Amino acid sequence: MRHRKVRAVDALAVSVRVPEPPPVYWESFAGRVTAGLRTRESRIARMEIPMFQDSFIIPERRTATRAVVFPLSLAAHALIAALLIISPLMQTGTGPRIDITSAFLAPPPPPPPPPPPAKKASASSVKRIKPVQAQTSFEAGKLVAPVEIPDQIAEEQISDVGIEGGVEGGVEGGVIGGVLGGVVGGVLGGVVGEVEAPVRAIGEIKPPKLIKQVEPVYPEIARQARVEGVVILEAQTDLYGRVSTMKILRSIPLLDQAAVDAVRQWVYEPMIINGRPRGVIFTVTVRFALK
Amino acid sequence: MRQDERSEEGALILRAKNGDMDAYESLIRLFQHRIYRLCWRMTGAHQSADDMAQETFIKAYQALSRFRDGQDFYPWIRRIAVNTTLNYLQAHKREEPLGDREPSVPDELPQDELQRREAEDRFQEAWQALPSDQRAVFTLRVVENQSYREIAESLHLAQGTVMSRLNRARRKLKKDLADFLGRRRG
Repeated sequence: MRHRKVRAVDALAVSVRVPEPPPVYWESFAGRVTAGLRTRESRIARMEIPMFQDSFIIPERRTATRAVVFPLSLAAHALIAALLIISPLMQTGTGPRIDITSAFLAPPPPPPPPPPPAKKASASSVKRIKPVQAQTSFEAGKLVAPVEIPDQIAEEQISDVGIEGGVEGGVEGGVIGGVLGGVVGGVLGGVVGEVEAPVRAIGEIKPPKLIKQVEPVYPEIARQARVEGVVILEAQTDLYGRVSTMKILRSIPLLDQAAVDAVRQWVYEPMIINGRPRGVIFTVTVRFALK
Repeated sequence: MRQDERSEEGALILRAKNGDMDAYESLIRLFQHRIYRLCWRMTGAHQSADDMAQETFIKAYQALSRFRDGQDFYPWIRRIAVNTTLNYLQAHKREEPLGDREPSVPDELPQDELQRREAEDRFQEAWQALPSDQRAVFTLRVVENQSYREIAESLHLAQGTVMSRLNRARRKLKKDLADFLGRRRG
């Protein structure tokens, strides 16, 4: 059934008659084809001639001129390139002026110890025996045996000094209102027990002497951008006077790192308080100025 | 093809290859009818068939140097005709073909002729609705009686593609002509 329908379709297709053009059509057909061929070929030829005439430019051969001009041109270009690259490097200008100011801000020292308590009335009435200067006749550098035995040997009095308002356990030279464990020479209101902690240098405490200073390097980018100003750092020295930690208090982004790098290399005289070395916290001002 | 026809064809091709236009005109006359009919079957219109037939012979002349001596000329030029017409149909697929058949007066024609005209008209209607690539395959297979391999070579397709296109073309024609074919059988 299916194949029969297919065959019917095929047969119908084959049976369709192609309309036959008149004989005059066939007589002129070949002539029209060759005429079309000639027209097309002449059109292509017409298109090609102007197209190639316009496209090809044959330059004049001037080898001798080129042989001279080319090296000169190369040298000129190299010179210009060198000027553009080297001249900015040569013009560095004078070095930047950097002012450094150090200020020490130390906390008050610990309070003084209290004085010893005052002696009782009876104690104060005790006759003080002054040490007797033995009247001896001896010569320096020569051992001589004593010839007289003293009647009384003076009892050695280490301290019999007391102050009204003093405290048991106080020390000589202490201050009324001081704290046990304090340090002679300390300030009232100070804190006991922070002997090892770093101190801020202020007031009476003289700043340690800067013994090694490294100049900051002015950053090239900051120099080209004409950036100048003051960077303020808070630096802390260790027991040996070396800068251990830093904190930027006033920042200039292009200059911060240069300031930090320089100050980190600085060395101060160790701060000695009551015979002990102490770390110190202080501010350092680094000034960057272009000349 | 007779031996003397073949030798005449070979001589004309040889002369045409050497630039003899008269020889080429003679070669055209030998094949113009077959090429025109092939183009007409694919396009369904005289003007398009005429254009495509002329274009085929122009292209053939331009490619004549690549024609191998001793080969049959018709299969070679048929391939050019099919591909030229197929390109044309694909480029002008949205254009409605101009019908060639003048409206006849049915009363003056005999019954057989009337039936034939109706069959051709119905077929042409279904044929124009067929995609051009299916038309090319169907024409080469059914009308030109080419093998699948020859069609595949002519159209630069795989044989499977040729078979599937032919199958689709037949199914579509069968569907579009179903009522007509049923009436004829009845």
